[in-house]
Formats: sequence, C-alpha cells, structure tokens
Amino acid sequence: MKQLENIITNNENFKTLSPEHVKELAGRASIIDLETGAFMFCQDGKADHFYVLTKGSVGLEIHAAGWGTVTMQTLRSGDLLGWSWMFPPYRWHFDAKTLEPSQAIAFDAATVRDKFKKDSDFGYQVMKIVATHMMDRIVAARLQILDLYGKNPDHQGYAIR
Amino acid sequence: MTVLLDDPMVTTPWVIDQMRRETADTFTFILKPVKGHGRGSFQFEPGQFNMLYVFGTGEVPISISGTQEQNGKLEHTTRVAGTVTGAMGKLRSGDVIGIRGPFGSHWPIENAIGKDVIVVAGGIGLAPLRPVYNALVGRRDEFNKIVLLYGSRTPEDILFRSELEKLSANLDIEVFVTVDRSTMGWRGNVGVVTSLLRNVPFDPRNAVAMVCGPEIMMRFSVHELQRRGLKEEEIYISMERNMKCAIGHCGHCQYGPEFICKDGPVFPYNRISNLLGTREL
Repeated sequence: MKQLENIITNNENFKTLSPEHVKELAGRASIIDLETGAFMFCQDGKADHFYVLTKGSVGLEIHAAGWGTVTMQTLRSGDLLGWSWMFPPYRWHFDAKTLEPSQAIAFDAATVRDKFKKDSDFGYQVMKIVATHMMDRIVAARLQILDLYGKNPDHQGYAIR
Repeated sequence: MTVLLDDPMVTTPWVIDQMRRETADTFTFILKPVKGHGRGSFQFEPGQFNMLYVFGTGEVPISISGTQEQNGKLEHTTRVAGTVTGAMGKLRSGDVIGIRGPFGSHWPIENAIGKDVIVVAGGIGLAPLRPVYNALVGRRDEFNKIVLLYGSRTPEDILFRSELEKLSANLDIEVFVTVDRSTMGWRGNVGVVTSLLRNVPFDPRNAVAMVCGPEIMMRFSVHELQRRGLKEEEIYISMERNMKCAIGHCGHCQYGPEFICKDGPVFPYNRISNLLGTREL
C-alpha cells in the first residue's frame, strides 16, 4: 500500500493530488505486469479498470472481420488508458494490446466511482487529470483527421520543402 | 560560410546526376554543376534554400537536403505539389535545371552547442532538417542529448527510412518515428508527432528545439514544447510562403514586417509568434 502511494505520488499525472487523495487512489489500485501481446482490455468487454502506464507501450486497436486490425494510437509510459469506466454501460470501445513488456497502475473503476459519489472534491481532482488526457487525445485525433502531410487541394502552391 | 553571389537573380545550370525516388510522391535530386559553370564547392548552412528553375515551366524554392562535399554534389528533396514540382518529377538523370542560391536564414546549430537538441519534423519537413541531424551527429561531442522526432502520414511515406534506421541504431541519439495512420505490418508508433513531445527526455532549462513541417503541426509542436517549459526564444521554426525573388525585393513572401525569403525561412518562435495564426498573413 505504501509502495503504491509512493508510485502514485511520484507519477507526473498525479502531482496535483493531495496526500489524502493519493491514499484513496492507492487503496483502489494495483500494479500489473504484462507480456508483449497481452490484451489489457477488449472491445465490448466490461470496463472495470482504468490504467496509467508506467513502463512499455500499448496499441489502441480496432478489429473487424474482413477489414483486419488497425492501430489508431500508441500509448506510452505516463499515458492514461481508459475512459469507458466513467460512462454507462461501462464497456470498452477498442482493444488495448501491449507492444512490449509493460507495466501499469490499474485502478478499480467501481470503487473509484463510489468514492466520487461520496467525496466530490476527490472526484473533481481525479476528473481534472482524466480530462487533461481526454483533451490531449481529442487534439491529437483532430490533427490526425486533418491529414496534415497529405495533399491539400486548397494549398496555395508554394513549396520550400 | 555562405558564398556571396555575384548576381542572385542569375540562375546557374546544374545537371541531374541521379534522381532517387524516396516515396510514392517524393524524390531527391543529386545535382552536379555543369562544366564551366561551377563556383567551386557549394557551401550553405542547414535550413537555407535554393531557387530551382525548371526551364520553360518555372522556379520554386526548395530547401537543401544535403551536399556531398567530396564531389561537390548538391541534394534537394521535394514532393510533387504543383506545376513546377510536377515537372521536376518528370525530369531524369542528365537533364539540366537552374539553381540560384543559397538563400535565407539557417538553423541555429551554433546556439545549440552544450545544450539538449530536439529536432521535430513532420512529413517532407524532414528534408530541411536532414543537414541539421547530419551536422549534429558529425559534431556529436559538442551537444548534450540529441532527440529526433519524426511524424509521417503512413509507414510508406517515411522519408530517408534507411538513414533513420541507421540513426536509431546509434546509441547516442534518440530517434522516434510515428505515423498518423498505420497500415498492415507497421509495428511502430501511431499518433501525431506532437504527442511524442510529452515524454521525450530533455532539460527545458538548457535545450533548443528546431521544428519543421506543416504550419499547423509546428504550432501544436510549439505548444507542447512550451508546456514542457522550453523558452520561446529557444524554439525555431521554418516558415514557407510564396517566394519568387528570394532576396526580399518582390514582396510575395512578406509576412508582417518580415520577408520569409530573406529574414527566414528559419525564425526563432518569439520573433513571429504574434503573426502565426493571423489569417490575413
């Protein structure tokens, strides 16, 4: 427990949390080690945890028959993984597969949600952390959609590159 | 040292010694001076550009992507984007093009001595930075950490792939490549290049960043670098606009009080931060 508190305290993501809030999170967390190719979660599976990667990397993937598997984003140490635990019906939208031996802090979603209901300040502080990652990922997704390196038909024709 | 030109508006003929296909829509010209028209060795600073003239079609500014000092050859890498670059793409070994230059400002390699250096490239923006990372590696002892981040559209669009693979194998430079969209068989990073900046190891109190790519990519890279604590004056970006004369006379590339061809293309971010995002410019 104390070791987990230290890990969470020293994690850049949680630097804004008070020691009391860190303790609350640590009581709902565990460290998991994963081999290459392990599925942390699968599409439509129950979103009963969320994670902060502390080592390694994970590919967020989607798979469909006849279409294959597409990796949409690679997450690395320091990244937060999983939002579906916050919203009913608490089911994952994508697959998350490790790309190398990895380690993560896994938080128990149901008990964190319960704590949110009882302690709104705790909920607010944790939600701010999650929302920061959501904002970063939305910005990144928008940049991906822009297809910045592709041909732009409206480009004015100047080219220095 | 930059060679002073007798007349910067007069083009010099160079022959295409080799045309190397880099990706489906990018290629590199390896050029040598036409006999009797050479000026000795071609000297330039990383980040500078030449005006390349396709006879009968037109002239475009293209960054210098390298030189081969031992034989005086010059390299330009470009992508087929318009009429002139389209015509360039149809040229072959033995064809002759005109060259004026080099022009413009350069990347601040001397300012990076003793500091961590973060090189951020997106798409064809890797080409103007190629002389930078080659210079950094060639003078490795003079710099602290060297980090190269490169974002490409897809794995098939990765420029200078074998060079990047060799660099990654080099233990004293860190190379991270990411693609916006993965395709089958790609096991590398997927995501925009800006997201790599979050966890890259460097000391923001003693670092310089050089960023080149589409303007939007550069703006978001700057945001991330600032979030990491890097000072505005230590962030350099390379701008592109419609350059014609390349010597600040015609005004086509005017950017507020600056001329991209003469005052740029490489600027410290703090010099043009108030101009970026201004729609009228």
